[in-house]
Amino acid sequence: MGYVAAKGGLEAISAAEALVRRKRLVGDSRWLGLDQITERLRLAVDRVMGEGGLWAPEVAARALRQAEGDVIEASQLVRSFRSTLVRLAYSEPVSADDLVPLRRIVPAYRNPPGPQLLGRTLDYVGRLLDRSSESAAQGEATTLATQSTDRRDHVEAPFDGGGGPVERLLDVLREQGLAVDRRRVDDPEPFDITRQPTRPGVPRSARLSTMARAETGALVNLWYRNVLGPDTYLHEVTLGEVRHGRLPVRVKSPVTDVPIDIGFVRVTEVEAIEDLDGIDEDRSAFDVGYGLCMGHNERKAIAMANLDISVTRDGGRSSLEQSVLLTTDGLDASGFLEHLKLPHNVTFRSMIERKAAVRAAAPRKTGVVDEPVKRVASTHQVSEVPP
Amino acid sequence: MSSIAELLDGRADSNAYGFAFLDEGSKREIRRAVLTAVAVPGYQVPFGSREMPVARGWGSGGLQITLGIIGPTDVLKVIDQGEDAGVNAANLRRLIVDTTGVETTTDAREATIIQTRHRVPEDDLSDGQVLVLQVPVPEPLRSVERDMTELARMHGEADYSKMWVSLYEDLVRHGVITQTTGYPCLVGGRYVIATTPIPRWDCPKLHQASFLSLFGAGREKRIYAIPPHTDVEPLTFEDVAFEVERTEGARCWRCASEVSFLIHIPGVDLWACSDSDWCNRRVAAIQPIPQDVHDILSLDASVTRALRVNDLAIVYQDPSEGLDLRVSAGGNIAAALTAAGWRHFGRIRARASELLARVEVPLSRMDDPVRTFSGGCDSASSWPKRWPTGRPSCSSTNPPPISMPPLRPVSWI
Repeated sequence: MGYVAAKGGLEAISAAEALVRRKRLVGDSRWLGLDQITERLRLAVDRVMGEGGLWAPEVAARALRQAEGDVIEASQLVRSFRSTLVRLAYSEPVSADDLVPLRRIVPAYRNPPGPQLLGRTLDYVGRLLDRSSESAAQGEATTLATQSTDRRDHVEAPFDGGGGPVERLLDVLREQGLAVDRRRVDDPEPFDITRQPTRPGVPRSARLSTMARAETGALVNLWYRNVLGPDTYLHEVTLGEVRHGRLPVRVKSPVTDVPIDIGFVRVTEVEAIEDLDGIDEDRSAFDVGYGLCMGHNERKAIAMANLDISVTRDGGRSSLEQSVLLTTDGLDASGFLEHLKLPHNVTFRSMIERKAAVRAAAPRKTGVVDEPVKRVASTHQVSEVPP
Repeated sequence: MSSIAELLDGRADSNAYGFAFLDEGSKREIRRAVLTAVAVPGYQVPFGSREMPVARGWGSGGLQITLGIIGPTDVLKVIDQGEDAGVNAANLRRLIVDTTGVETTTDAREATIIQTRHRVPEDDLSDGQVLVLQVPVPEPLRSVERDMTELARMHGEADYSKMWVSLYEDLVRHGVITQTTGYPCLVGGRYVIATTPIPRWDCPKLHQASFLSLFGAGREKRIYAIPPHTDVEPLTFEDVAFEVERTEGARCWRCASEVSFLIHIPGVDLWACSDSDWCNRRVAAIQPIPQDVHDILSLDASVTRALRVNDLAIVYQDPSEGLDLRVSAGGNIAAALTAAGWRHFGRIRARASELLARVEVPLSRMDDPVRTFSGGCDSASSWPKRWPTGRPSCSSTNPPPISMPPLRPVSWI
């Protein structure tokens, strides 16, 4: 019986929910299958997995479809689903050298050790809107499907490495003694940001995991603020490695205790080399920032690597670390922003009451409109007086 | 090997979640944080906040506490800004009920757990009740300090001087303390907390309360608590009184209360209780609702039509909803009269002109289509249409329509 008074709100939200569901499910076009989303909207699915923090293409596709293409909303669905999953095991650490590259470029050298493997990229394709007719495009698809796929330019062929892992640029710099050595001798457990909140001063692993799950746009913006905006913690950066590939997931068998590969996740990995030019820094060496995120998302991994080295070099002098740790999560920022749509009548009433109290306390200070004008005028007069 | 999609599809009901949504490990973690918070009143306990099926900033912290502590025999109340019917309150309540099956109530006295956004109920809560507050910003000192390392030091050393300075400056510049809601309070003589933002009106209710208050900030991953019988003192100088919200002459237009937190209804310049259920109970006590009450809106359409013709009228807030805009003002009234069996043209004309005169629609316009009327005029003409036969009438809006255009006052019927 007690529910009755609360019925109005429930009916309203149920109606809104039904409207969304109906509009999403019913349409003149064909049913949108999960396989279409995972196959044809690959990068959107990768973003949802990365920002949602769960490698599960079908789940991400389901979320994207339910969210009508809204990446943040889809990530929210994935993460809240993740909250219900029991943690069964921890994977074994794998080396990034175990990555099977689908793409690898090294901007710092023309001929780096190992290949420059362009792979599946739009970087060097003219950004021309494909205006071929639907039937022509479908005809092309049919033709391509029947062609032999053994030609390298038609398949995404992982680089087999030709025996052993591809040497990374950081190794080259280390060999030449050009890299600051920040390798640690102990091997601490990585900081788990899904179980512990972060605050400035947390280990670097917390910073890296935070950025790996951060919203791509937030990282790009924070990066650009530091390049052209008011914050200037970013310096001359050269990219060492940009890789996209498959990284094995390895767990110990609960029976035999032997590590076995149970599958892979695709990741993007970036190393960003910074020229150390600070007064108290080693001018004879470089330092390197690291970025790695789930899925194919080079924009994000590059911003991440750049911000990582910037926070290291900043050494807690500015609020950069706090910005990275606390302001880049897409769900946090969007959720809080959108909560402004909730009713705020209690808080607003309290604010209005204080405005009245201030006016009552200072009855002559009512001319809010002309006050600033007067102030500007008087400042002018003062400045005109010669010193 | 099955794919995840197959596993999801294969479940008997793939939308079924475990009791109280979260897995048991997560609930245990939340309960541990709650216990720490109770043991150290006012201290913000960090916890591994989970992503919830509501967005962060929409009560995800409160929701986690509620789901962490709730059991099958609990009785739940959820309010938003004092209101049970608020849409977000309805959504949170639905989520909790759907995943726990607990009983709900709107009566604060009956609930064992009350999840709330920005209000403490007006009722005196008692021993054994838990108030779960949704917290957007758990850090009371953020207005005076942004750096988290420095904030940690300030709390650690109970160094609240910056907060005091801001209160001092406030008094110097404005003559009053201008802090509105979320007023900083010292808990147990040790930690300063942000009081969600509840209004200042509610702060005294937290002092030496019989009930337990738990504060959950999901986005910022903090839980803090005020255990029962703990001192909660709003920060103010000894010679400056702590002021709660008060407006001279304000009283609830429904229950005439002057002793509850009131919110303003602009336009009509009325006040109403923010705690809607408390107000409803007072209204019910003033005017006992007769036992043979029927919900007209749930009646059969034909019964409703008959009622409209002979017994009741509805006045729409938007006059165009109740008027046929293509028909003249007189015709609109005639529609109702003919439905009631009037068939004498002269008498219909006479009655229509009499009614239009009463709301000061010029008789010269009686035969003009209503769509040619100004807002004030069509609103006025909607009234006589509602009571042409002299039957009782009720307004479709409650409180009175606040968007009614300024016209000559038509008395409430």
